[in-house]
Amino acid sequence: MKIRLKLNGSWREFEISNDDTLLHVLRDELRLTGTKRGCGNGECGACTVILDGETVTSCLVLAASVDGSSITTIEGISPQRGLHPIQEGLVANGGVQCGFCTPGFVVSAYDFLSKRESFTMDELKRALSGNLCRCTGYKKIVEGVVAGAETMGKEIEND
Amino acid sequence: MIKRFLNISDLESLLKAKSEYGSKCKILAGGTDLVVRMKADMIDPDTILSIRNIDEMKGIIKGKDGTVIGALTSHTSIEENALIRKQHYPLYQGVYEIGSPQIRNMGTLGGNIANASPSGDTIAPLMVMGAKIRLMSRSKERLVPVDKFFKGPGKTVMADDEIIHSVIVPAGFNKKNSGFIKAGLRKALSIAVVSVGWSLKDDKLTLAFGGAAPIVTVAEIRKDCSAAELKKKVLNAISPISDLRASKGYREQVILNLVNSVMEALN
Ligand SMILES: Cc1cc2nc3c(=O)[nH]c(=O)nc-3n(C[C@H](O)[C@H](O)[C@H](O)COP(=O)(O)OP(=O)(O)OC[C@H]3O[C@@H](n4cnc5c(N)ncnc54)[C@H](O)[C@@H]3O)c2cc1C
Ligand code: FES
Ligand code: FES
Repeated sequence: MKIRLKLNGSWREFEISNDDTLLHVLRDELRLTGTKRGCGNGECGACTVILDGETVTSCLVLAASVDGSSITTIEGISPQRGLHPIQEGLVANGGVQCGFCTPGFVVSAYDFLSKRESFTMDELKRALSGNLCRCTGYKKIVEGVVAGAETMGKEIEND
Repeated sequence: MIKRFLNISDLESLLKAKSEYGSKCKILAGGTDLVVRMKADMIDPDTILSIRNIDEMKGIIKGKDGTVIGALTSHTSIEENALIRKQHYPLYQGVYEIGSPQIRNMGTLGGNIANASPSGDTIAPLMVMGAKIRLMSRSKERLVPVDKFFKGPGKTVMADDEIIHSVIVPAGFNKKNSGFIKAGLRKALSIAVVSVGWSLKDDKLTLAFGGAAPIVTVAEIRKDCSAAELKKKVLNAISPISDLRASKGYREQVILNLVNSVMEALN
């Protein structure tokens, strides 16, 4: 079937099959390979994208069901040149090792931060709890996101 | 292979399609159970009825017999709703515990109920509040009390042409007289090992046990009953299994510990 998606700001139309996941369409048809395929079962968050304003694991979304929707991937968050403040924060704080989980974390953090002016550390940790990392042990990821949030002018409240 | 994929955007078309395709079709709501099963080759539906665009099945409103929650309401919307937190505290705690932010954004109340997992985190909360499930088909509509809805793991009283339209939950369940606790292996992304929902009305304590029998089960006891009687009633109500996540004895003990922590909080 044919579907239309507003992908990172521009409408696109393409043919998919009924069984295709959104992750498959993004990576293998559209070559937007920033979105990663990890577990394929909704457990790791590597495939996180923003669908109509909310984060989802694209490995569990059937593309046929989101005809007409708006989707933001890591490619839509990262600027053409340079890095988004969240990405800069992660790099500067050692929050990236193998980097496989990084796009998913950035998408979750971006969605969380763009919806509020201030947050507590507990809220931030909960917002990132659907993303797994095998390398860093999370502490540096959280520190990196906090650094990015500060650059974005967000305030951190006490828990 | 999905032969037919229908994006449905109104209730009437859904009921019509459900009566036409019956057992050959599967409803797709958030997909967090269905797509996982399809990928694991556990099911291979011929027709998918995708309902994510049926707005009239989303939302939370105050009705005269309680709060009406549309089956397509996401766990995130339930968690963020003030009425739920004030009047249906166990459900707030139940959805708070589900999976991860992404899973809570996608997953729906109707999907959690229809899936009929003994560890579905909305079920014990709905049981202790005496919720009713509104089922609809093209020809009729009926209300089923949640404790009469489940037949076994993955099995419910729903007929092939029926859908869950909404859930009606009596109000008055706050932090002081009700709750839900879950003992999971890991905070995010674990399906509960076991869980306990509870509510207190006058002297009567209603307990519901998740992950402790083929379906969520309920026990009613007096608040001031003896420790021995309490233990007996709880163990009678549950029949946990041993599997790779935990043994039967471990599950029984964790349930008893959860119940004890409820009793302590009450006294
Ligand atoms: C990584 C991960 C973690 C999870 N963690 C938890 C957890 O902690 N606790 C928990 O309880 N669950 C958990 N789940 C399971 C799942 O997310 C929930 O059960 C969710 O509520 C299912 O809703 P859905 O809308 O995604 O259902 P779907 O997958 O869309 O549907 C599930 C079933 O219900 C049927 N259905 C859906 N809506 C209706 C309706 N309105 N009428 C009739 N039938 C309907 C479908 O046909 C299908 O058979 C987890 C799942 C994943 C992948
Ligand atoms: S690949 Fe989607 S959650 Fe792991
Ligand atoms: S940096 Fe390797 S998985 Fe996170």
